[in-house]
Amino acid sequence: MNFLLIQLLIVLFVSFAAVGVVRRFLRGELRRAAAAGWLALWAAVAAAVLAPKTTELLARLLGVGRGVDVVLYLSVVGLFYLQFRTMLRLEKMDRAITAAVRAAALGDLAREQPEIKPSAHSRE
Amino acid sequence: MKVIAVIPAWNEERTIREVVRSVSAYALPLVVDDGSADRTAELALAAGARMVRHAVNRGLGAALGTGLKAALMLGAEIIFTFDADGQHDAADIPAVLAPIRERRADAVIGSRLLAPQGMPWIRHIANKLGNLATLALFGARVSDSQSGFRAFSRLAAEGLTIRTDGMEVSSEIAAQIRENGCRLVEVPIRAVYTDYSLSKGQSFFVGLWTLGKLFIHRVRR
Repeated sequence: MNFLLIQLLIVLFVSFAAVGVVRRFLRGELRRAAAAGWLALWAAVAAAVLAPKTTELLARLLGVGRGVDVVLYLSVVGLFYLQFRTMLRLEKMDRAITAAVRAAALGDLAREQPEIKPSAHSRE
Repeated sequence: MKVIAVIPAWNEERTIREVVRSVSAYALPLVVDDGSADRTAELALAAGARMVRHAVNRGLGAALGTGLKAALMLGAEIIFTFDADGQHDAADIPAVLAPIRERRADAVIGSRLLAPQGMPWIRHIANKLGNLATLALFGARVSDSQSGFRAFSRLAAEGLTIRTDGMEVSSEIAAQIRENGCRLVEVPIRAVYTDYSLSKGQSFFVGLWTLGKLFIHRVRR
C-alpha cells in the first residue's frame, strides 16, 4: 500500500501527540477519561488519514456528501467548542488573579489603618 | 454621614489631581490605582486621596469591586463611584447623593442620557446599545447603564457582588441593583467630553468585546 508524504507526516504528528497524552497521563497531569478522549481523537485522525474511506462511511451515516466534508464540519464544530472552553477557562483564571490582587490590596489598606479589621469585605 | 468616593484609575496622571481635588469638597476620595505605569498614584496621594493599589492592571470592574469593599472597610455610609478621566462634573455630586441622604433611594445612577447635550452621536448610539444589551440580558431598564457615576447606601453597596473585571461591570451593577430589589433613582448629570475623556471610553470594537463578555457572564450566572 502506497502512502502520500502528507499522510505520513500527519501520522507522525499524531503519534507524537498520542505519546504526549500517555506521558501526561502517567505523570498524573491528565485524568483517565481525558486521556482516553484525547487518544480516541488522535486514533480517529490517524484512521481518517490512513484509510480515507472510513470517513465516507461516516459521511453516509450523517447524510453529508463526502468524507472530506464531514471531517471539515466536525473540525469546525470541535474548534469552536475548544475555543469556548478556552475562553471560560481564561475567565476563571482572570477571576482567580483578581481575587488574589484584591486580597493583597485590601490587606495593605488594613495594615495601613490598624482600626480597620480585614473582615468579610476583604474576602471574595 | 461618612461619604466615600471610589475613583478607579489606570494611567490617569493627566486628570487625577484635579478630579481628586474637585471631589474632596464633597467626600473622602478613595482612588483605586489599577496597576498604573505612570504617576497616577503619586499625584493622587499628593492631592489628598486615600489609596488602594492593584499590583497589576485588572480592569475597571475589578477596580470598582476593590474600591467598594475598601470603602465599606473604611466605614462609608454612602459610597459613590466617579470616573478618573475628568468626564464627570463634581458640581453634580450633591444632586446624585440627595436621594440617598433623603432615604428616597438605595442606589442612584447619574444619567448622561437624561441631559445628553454635547454628547457625540456615536457615543449616544453606543450608550443606547449598552442599555439595550443590559435590558435584553438582565431585564434591567435604565437610561444610562454605562454611566460611571453612581451612588449607593451602605446596605445597597454591601449587597453588590462584582464578578466581572472589565467594562461590562456597568451592566452588571445595573442588573444587581434590580435583582437586589434596591430603590433606584436616576439623576441627570452633565458629561464633560474632551479629546482625552473620549479616548478613555470604549471604542466600537471594545464595545463589541464587552458585549461578548456580558453574554458569557449571563450564561454562566
